[in-house]
Amino acid sequence: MFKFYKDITFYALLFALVSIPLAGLYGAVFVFGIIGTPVGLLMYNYFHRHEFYGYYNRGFTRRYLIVRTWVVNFLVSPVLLLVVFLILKLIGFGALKG
Amino acid sequence: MALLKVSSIQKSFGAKSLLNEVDFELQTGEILGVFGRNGSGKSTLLKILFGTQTAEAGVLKVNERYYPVRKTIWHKSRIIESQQIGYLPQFSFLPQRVKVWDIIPQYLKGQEQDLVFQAPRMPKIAGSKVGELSMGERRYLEVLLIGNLDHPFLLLDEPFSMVEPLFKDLIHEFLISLKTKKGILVTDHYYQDVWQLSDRKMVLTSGKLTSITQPEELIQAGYLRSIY
Repeated sequence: MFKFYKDITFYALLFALVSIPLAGLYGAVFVFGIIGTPVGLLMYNYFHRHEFYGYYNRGFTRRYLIVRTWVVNFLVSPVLLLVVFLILKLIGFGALKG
Repeated sequence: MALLKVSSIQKSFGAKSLLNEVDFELQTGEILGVFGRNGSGKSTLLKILFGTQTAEAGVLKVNERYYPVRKTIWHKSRIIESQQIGYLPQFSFLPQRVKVWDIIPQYLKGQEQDLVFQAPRMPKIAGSKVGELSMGERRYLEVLLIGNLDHPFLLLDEPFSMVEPLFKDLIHEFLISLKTKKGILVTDHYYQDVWQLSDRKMVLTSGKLTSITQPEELIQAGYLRSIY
């Protein structure tokens, strides 16, 4: 199941990165946590659709995989938000010092 | 011993009825061969049984437990959750860029992994990426992975297609060894392999599954022109 999470999250992060110019750094974190997983799923469906059958054979339904991934990414996003906040603060602090 | 009883599977695409009241039974210890022309509904039937395809009606009974078919995509795939049925799709489902020795632990735990690692010809390919394997090697690996899971029933869609004779023999041997603990349904256009392997045979024509015992009945069913 971890590979599924990794694949979806890779596309979700990619989408969040691409959204930075429009949404800004904080906005990109929300993009990742809220719509990153559905976008990742669309990409997964396009590039890895057949791999679902490996998960089905191990007893994981599509619904289970998606909900788990979405919940984890949603819960991870406040941590990411904090990381972005700290990085921006540090950059700001460094710039002030400079 | 486990028994899979399939009743009244009904499936149509628009106005075209594909499966019409399909019924059959499969028990552990036997291999059932299913024959049918392209488009006759074999793969659709297997997907319905596995729970990845919807159907208008039908029910599966595994021992004393009932599993209605999924009528809409929103219905839960209870058969997948129950892990009563394993399914080998006709296409490759393994990630191409992952090495074989990294895939096996995703499917099997502990010493069960040796069933695949120590299988004939596997040590040679264990270090390769799935995308580097030949068609026969990949299919053989897929059959080993799905076959060694705990499901009492196994649905195999084209396990022999495009597979070289050497790997066909290995797949044959493996499936015969599995028969003691599983009920296996096989369908493939390499009909001689399926005929040789199966204990019972059925042909799917006009949406109905019919039992057959003689190869000549495949001609009568419109599946073959002659027996080679």
